[in-house]
Formats: sequence, structure tokens, C-alpha cells
Amino acid sequence: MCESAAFLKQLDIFQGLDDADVARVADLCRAQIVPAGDVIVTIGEAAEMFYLVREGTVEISTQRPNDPAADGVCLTLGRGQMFGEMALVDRGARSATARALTDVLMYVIPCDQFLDLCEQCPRLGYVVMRNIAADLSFKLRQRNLI
Amino acid sequence: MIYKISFVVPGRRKAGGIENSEVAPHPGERWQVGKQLLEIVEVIELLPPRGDFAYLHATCKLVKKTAE
Repeated sequence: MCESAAFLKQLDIFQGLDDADVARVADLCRAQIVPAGDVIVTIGEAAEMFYLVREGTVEISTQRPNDPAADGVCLTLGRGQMFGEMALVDRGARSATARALTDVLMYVIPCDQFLDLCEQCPRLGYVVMRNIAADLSFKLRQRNLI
Repeated sequence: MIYKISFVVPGRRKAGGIENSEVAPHPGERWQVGKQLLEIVEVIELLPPRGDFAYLHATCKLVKKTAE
């Protein structure tokens, strides 16, 4: 099993997949290193990728750059977390800005290619979409406790 | 078991974080979350475990914030 596939098996979004399905997802992954301070995605822009944090911390903020006085939600995501996944579900624009709080090693997956894979492998698609729903539920419950 | 942990400091809007860990948090421990050193006050189960994953929520107090 390749290094990226071994990492993917440690993520709850891919739990329930067999090794062959994880390998199919790993084939879509591209590793990227982002220096601390760099913006990865910006609120409002079109969403074409989703991201998996392997090392480091990403800050997620809903504050809009043209309205800095507005109160925005801010959350940090560390090892094993994903962001940008809402685009897989609703194909909408970015709902938040993501910035590397530290140097970050992440995997980038194109949404279109991943959705094509879900069409080709319906069980894989069902398992991952269920896991994404569970992750969004986790984040909503977390928000409710802040 | 992999622990998916939500960290929250009550009353601080910019103090939430989520990380995976191979060890569970316990009250009294100090954890580095992003650029914040937090002390765990309470840990609850946020969702029931599924497969190899446990879903926890840790209420914390801020010990130190590293300057960016």
C-alpha cells in the first residue's frame, strides 16, 4: 500500500472502504506543502478541490475580506481533518477562507474526479458521502457547544 | 482507536479546533492545538464510536497563545 493510501485509511471519511477502494482514492490525491500564512482557499470563490490535512494546522474563517468588521467564525483543523468537502455535496462557492496557520502538508483531490469515481463505484460513493455527512454533523454539534 | 477531538474554550469565538489523535484526552492534560496551549477541563463523547473512530469533545481553558 502506498504512503498516501496508508494515510487515507486513518481518516474517518474513508472508514468502511476496502484497500482497493482506498487505492482508487489515493490515485486522485496530490500532495501539496503550504507555507505558514498562505491562503489556500478564499470565501466566495468557486470550489474545485477538497483537502485533507496530513501535517500542520489550517485556520478556517468565515470573515469576509471586504467586511473585516463583521464577526466571523474561526476554527482550526489539524491532522486528519478535511475541508472544502461541502463542494462535493452542494457544488456551491467556498463558504469560508482557509489559511495555513503553520506549514501544512495536505492532499488535494479534484471534486469532479472524485465525483466521477463515486459514479463508477457506487458503494465507495455511498460510504464516503455517509462519512462526509457524519463529519458535517460532528462540526455542527461542535459549533453548537461553542 | 483514532480519536477525533473537538477542542473548545468557552467564551472564546476563535478558540475552536478539531484534530485526530491516537491517544484520548483527559482532564488536567495540556494539549497543543494549533498555536494554542490548552488545558483539558472536561471530555464528553460527542457522537457514538463508529468503526475505529471515537468522537470526543474537550472543554478547555487557554494556557498560552503563541504569537503568529
